[in-house]
Amino acid sequence: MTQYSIPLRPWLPIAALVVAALAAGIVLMLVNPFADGSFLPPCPLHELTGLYCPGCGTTRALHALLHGSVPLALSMNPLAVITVLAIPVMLWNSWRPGHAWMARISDARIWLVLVVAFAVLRNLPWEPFVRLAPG
Amino acid sequence: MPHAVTEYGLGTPPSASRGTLVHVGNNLVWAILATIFCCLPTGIVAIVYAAQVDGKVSAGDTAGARESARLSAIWSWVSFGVGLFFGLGWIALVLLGHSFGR
Repeated sequence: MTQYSIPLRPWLPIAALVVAALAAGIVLMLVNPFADGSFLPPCPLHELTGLYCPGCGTTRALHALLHGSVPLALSMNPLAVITVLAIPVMLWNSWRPGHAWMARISDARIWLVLVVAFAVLRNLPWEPFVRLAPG
Repeated sequence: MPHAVTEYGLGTPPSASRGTLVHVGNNLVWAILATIFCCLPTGIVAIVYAAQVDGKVSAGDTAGARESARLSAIWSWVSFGVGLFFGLGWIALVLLGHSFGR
């Protein structure tokens, strides 16, 4: 069987993730993505098509979370807030599987439905779906 | 053992018998991160493959699950790559714009 997996140690991607999260946190403490002309990149899909992807508003949501405003974060991208909570659970589950509720959160089929549904709903132009768009 | 695949055989080889617990990591964390934080449709492809992993494990298709996990990881990396390229390209353009005035 051919395997193209990168021969890295198992903890390396997680270490890279922690470093990236810290770097993103430091940048977002210093730079305001709500400001006009911010150099933080916008969503490529939204720039090209005007459509909102499931990740649109994530930068602003993380900025709001870091500055203590959960309602603002939720209004920018509720899925990003859920993801921030779910990622540690998933990492723990892949390290020490065994808890049923963690296995459920780590079930990709649920996430597939969630992400696709979110992508469709936040582009609908009617209340209450417009609230899902970051604006 | 590649990092993408983790298996837990309970004392017997994974393919030995029905009822042997085989866990194949579905790489879902990276697929979701790629989709939400890199903002790319290719991340959805990675989630689709990650979703196949769990289904194939349930059906006892360990080889198929491994293959789906591998493809999921590849699509996640593609997403990270394109996201990084776009992000750095954007920042470079903004900095260029600032240095040349308006």
